[in-house]
Amino acid sequence: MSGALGVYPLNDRRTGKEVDATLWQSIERRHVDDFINKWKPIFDARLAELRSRGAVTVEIAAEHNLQDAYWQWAEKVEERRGELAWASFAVEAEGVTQGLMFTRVGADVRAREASQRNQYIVEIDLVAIAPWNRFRLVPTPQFKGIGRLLLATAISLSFSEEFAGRIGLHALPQADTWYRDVCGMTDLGIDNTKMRYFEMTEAQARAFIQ
Amino acid sequence: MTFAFQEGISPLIPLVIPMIEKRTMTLNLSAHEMDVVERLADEKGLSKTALVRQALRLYQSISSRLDNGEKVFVEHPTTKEKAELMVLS
Repeated sequence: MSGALGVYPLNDRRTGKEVDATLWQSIERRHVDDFINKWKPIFDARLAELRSRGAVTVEIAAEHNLQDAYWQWAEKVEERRGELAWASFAVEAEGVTQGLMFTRVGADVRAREASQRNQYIVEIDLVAIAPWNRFRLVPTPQFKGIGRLLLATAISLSFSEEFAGRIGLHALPQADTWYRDVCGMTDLGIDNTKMRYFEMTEAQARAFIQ
Repeated sequence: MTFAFQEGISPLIPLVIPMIEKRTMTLNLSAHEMDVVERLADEKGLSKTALVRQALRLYQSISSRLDNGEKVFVEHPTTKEKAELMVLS
């Protein structure tokens, strides 16, 4: 099932103007091609530059906003095609993919936060924005609002599934503060994945999308 | 696993995004089957539609694993006795 979910405004930091972005469900071949042909060369160039100065540790990758550079979007799209548990989304603006996200739902995808423990949630499995929109990776990131649009999409999916907006995710260290301080998600600490796990309650979700 | 967004929340997008429109079907169930659907939906806090959708995902997931040659077991909580879960083939 695939199609455009709507057109939403992003802010172009270079001009200060709004730009229309189209939100798609699901990730299509052209989005994967953009990742391979437009995103990855930027990641690879920065990684090569960093490697020329020494080993690229997790901390260095985080410092340069590159921790997801190795994610295999093409393989994930192929593996998960047709699986009802998975949904995927892409944001396009100016004819180019600006953001990508995979979500998961299912009988085993349950909340951990005390007030909603064991209730169904939407899990954000992977979410990323194009490298030219990232602070610390490029001098002047272009679009603002892609992360919020994708998070709002996951919340909307949760409402659509009758999960009351509840979502959960594991954050890369470079993202902790955004989820906790900007999005208002509950930080449930580092779990057995060695990553920090965040959850959004119904109240937090309603506050986020208002 | 998710990625960082080094930005504040844009005020541009206050939204609940409509998901792709769903199709409607009529499902004929016996009274007993309907009772079970209603009870499970009530227990899970879901509508009957949402319950059936969750069940369909689970059924697909298990079928897919079995099709790939995997086995699915359920384990007794105390005796740890395992029973292989079978689904329609």
